[in-house]
Amino acid sequence: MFSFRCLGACVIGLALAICPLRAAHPDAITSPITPTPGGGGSGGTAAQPAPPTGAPASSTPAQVGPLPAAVAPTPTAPAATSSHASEALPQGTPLPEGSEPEKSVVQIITAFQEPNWAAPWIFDVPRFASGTGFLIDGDRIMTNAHVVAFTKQLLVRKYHDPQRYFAKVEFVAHDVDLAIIRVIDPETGKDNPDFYKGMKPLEFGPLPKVRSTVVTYGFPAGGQQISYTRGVVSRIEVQGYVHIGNRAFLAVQTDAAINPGNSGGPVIQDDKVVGVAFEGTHALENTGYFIPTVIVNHFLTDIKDGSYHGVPDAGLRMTNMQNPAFRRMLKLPEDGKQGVRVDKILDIPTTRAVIQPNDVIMQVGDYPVDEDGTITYEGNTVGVSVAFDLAQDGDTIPLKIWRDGKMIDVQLPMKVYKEDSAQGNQYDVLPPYYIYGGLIFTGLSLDYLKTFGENWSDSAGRELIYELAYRHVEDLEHWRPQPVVLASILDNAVNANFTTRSMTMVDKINGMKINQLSDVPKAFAATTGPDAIIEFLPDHHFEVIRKDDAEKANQDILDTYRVPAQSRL
Amino acid sequence: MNRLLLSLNRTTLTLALLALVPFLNLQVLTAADSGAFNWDNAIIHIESTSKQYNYIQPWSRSERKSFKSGVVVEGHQIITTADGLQDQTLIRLKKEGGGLFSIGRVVWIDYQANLAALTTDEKDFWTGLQPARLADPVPITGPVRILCWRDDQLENRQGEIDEMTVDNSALSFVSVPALKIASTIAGVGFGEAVTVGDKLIGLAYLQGGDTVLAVPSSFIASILKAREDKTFTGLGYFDFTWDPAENPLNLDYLKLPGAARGVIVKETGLKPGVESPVKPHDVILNIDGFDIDAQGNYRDPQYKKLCLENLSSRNKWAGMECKFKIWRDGKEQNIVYKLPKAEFSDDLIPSQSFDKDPEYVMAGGFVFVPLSEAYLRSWGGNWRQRAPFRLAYYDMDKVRPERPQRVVLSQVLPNEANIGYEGLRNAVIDEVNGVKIKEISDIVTALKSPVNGFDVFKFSPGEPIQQAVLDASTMDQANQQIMSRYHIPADHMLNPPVVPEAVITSPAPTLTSTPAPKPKSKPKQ
Repeated sequence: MFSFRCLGACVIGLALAICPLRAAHPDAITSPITPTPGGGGSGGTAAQPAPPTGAPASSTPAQVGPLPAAVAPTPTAPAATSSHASEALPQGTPLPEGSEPEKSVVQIITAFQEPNWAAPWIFDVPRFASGTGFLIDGDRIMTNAHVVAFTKQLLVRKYHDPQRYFAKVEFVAHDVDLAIIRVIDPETGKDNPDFYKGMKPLEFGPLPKVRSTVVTYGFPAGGQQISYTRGVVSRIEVQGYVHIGNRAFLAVQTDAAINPGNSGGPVIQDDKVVGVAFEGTHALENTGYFIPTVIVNHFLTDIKDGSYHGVPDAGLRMTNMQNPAFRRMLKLPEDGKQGVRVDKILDIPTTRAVIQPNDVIMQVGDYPVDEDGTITYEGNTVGVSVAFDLAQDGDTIPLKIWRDGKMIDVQLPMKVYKEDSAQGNQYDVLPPYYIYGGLIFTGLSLDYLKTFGENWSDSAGRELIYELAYRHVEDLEHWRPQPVVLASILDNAVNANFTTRSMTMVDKINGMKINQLSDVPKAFAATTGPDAIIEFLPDHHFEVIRKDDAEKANQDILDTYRVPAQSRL
Repeated sequence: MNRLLLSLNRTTLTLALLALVPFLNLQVLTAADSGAFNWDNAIIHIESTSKQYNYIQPWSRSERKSFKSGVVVEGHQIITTADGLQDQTLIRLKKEGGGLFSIGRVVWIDYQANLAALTTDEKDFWTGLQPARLADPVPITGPVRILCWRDDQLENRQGEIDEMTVDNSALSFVSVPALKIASTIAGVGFGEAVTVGDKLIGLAYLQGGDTVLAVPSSFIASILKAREDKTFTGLGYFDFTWDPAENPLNLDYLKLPGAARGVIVKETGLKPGVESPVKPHDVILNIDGFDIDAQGNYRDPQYKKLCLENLSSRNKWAGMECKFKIWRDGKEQNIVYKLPKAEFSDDLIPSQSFDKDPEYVMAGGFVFVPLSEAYLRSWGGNWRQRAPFRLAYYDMDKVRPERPQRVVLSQVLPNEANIGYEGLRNAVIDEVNGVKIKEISDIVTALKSPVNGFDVFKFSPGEPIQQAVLDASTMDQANQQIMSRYHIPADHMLNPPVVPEAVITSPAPTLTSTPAPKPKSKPKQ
């Protein structure tokens, strides 16, 4: 069964162990950021929320059909009607023949510090890592979002220049793993024009052809000298973007060596950037992935208004229409081979207003949809989600839909969907918490589950994983917007007799149902008697804490454990 | 029902504690008794051949052999553990470590209690054999011998009693007493005799490292006597969960004065279809005259401190009454708790399915099976980590009237009829042709009423797809083709519905008048 997803639904885990490629810097005091465990997307062809464990074939992303050997001209105009100004790829100043792109490639050294989601007021030990970036039009350096995530200090080195320059993040797009940084004068915080002397911005090229040759530029393994690797484009398809963990977009697979430290580096063909190196996999040999320029272009267009919005989501789960019986039941033309069936619609009102289950989407924008759920995009057979991903937030996509035995035209509004952020990796946000009598409450999230260690999907407990990944699709009656967890307990006399282990979901406090973390302080404040009663899930056991004692102990506990504030909501 | 987790790898030797317990059985048997009884004449080697099922392809089967040990008891019977006798097709018995095998048969088998009685119709078999006596009560300290036939020689190894404890029965969720023994003997856990002198004190059923767990002979004797008296109705259990009352504030909240004691009830009514007299937040203070402490233990007259769960099988059987003293609504109350019968079908995902062929329905290449632990164990011993997440998650879910079973599309056998669905597997089915699928037999019913010539399958909302359609007009033809192509003998296999046993709904039996009910599933002879 092939099925297709236009994102939005939770996806935790990825069949292949794909990881972002930021390298430990030689100066690193600790190891580099580890590959995101369980992060990843559906590959665009798997609608099922992938279980966090390596389930057998049920969770293996289905593969699209054979790739075309030849590349035919395809529609070049975006399918979407953009509410933004229509943007071409930034042109920059074309490099002359015999140019040296390496002069526009920089090494980025980041000192980063991640929050601890189990002890939310604590930050981990600062670590160092390095990645790659390259100059683009407008004195900007493009790199990966994961190179600059949680950064406390960014330094940039350029070709044959021993000096390190300070930089700051201007835009970051965690969903598509891209960022723009600018080199600054650390004293003024303003741009440092001296840095760009002798450098020329790289120009972007089109989607490379399968079997064509590309060269990656970067600083793998944190080395100080630039490295070049050559390879061929081996596949172009939708892949999970592991940095965010629950999104999948078009990506290009190459056998050019892409190693930690290459992240953010340009992949060049005919002196033009055809992609940004971003992740690799341990599961396959000689396999690296780069972000194609269609995604880069989407990002650059998005930030034109000064802020990044994200890639919108149609909120559709689609599945192939290859079964003849199903085609007959929906009265599709006998000789037709087109269409992908809408199997499920996420709770997005603007989508539900125009799309119905069992609608068969025949065309998205300019792209006819084949019965196996693919479109032909620039000569490549790729998942239909690619056509939706061309839209910007607020755009409307024209669809041709087969409904009730006839073809109709529909305008589908596209909006960025952020309701599932807890099910993906979160960056540049601090974990929320509330502490009462040493009891640390936080919201259930993938980041919290990962605090259970590398094998978190085994150790976190099935109840928590189900709550995060499946409850919202299977059991709406008991679903909560932000399930709250007793993350841990700071030992104190006031809670010494608790038998409840931490890492347990909270049901009610003083009889008040806890739908989100902000309900917790309200519920404790509503304590009327001498005791506060906390009920837990799934078995509704309870614990009692004495209100006066807890409130007296609060400050003492905060002081003892150097917790700066009782809450971060 | 507190599912005790007394796994062997968490075993803590408590010899030091035992030394402090002043409470020793006056009838302790010692090695001095040995010599009066020749165990060669009581230990029987058992060979059991069973059907081995493949739950992924439920129509196929192979065979497996189990080698066990048993002990001759009065009445020309051999008592052994039930484990290894499930789905058996042939039993062979060998005595005195040599000679020819005799064909055996099951007299009775109780998977919940993990006990079985075997016999043979070959009269010569019993010549020279001597029934063993069962110790009741059993000693809780001192040396033991563990005996079994190995290569026609009687292996006789020493062990040391560690403690009497309460554990989940080997094949079931019910709590039963277990005798923990330290011994270096290897490869036991299959009904080997644990003896002191001329008495049997237990049958080994599990081994982990240097620890052996045995079904104590006192428990065996109580079941044998109840069977003889025709009062045995199967094991019952406490169908509620509880927490220790270790947080005094929890008891204050429940307005229980005085020292911390009792346990606090969490979930009740785990037995489907039976209303529990126990309610959440009840504090259970006393059961059948035994005070319950704040950790959930009582002081047993023979076996010192034991978990309260033992009181559900301490000479009590399904349908019998236990007298509970509870604290509810700020006052002490006495209630009668009738023990519900322990059955594997009490769980939404049954942990065992013995002596029944696996059920399935194949329709147009879609293979549907009831979700069971037997199916999940197809992913190996660590199926909780390896099986599809949601299927493993449902193991924590409960039976509800509207959903007594989960049915899963386990795989699609590729055929022209099901093109486009080949990758679909392990998907929970909710509805077929508008009929809610409560149990697998509903699929057969639903397929008799296609919708406008199509069979419409609707899957659970968490599945990769919500809907699949097959052509009903060509379904029979497709089924024939698929059965031929994949060597499937029949398009479905369904067991007859289980008739609810009278013990659940009948008045509480008395010890003298209630006949023993028929076993839920009789082994094939």
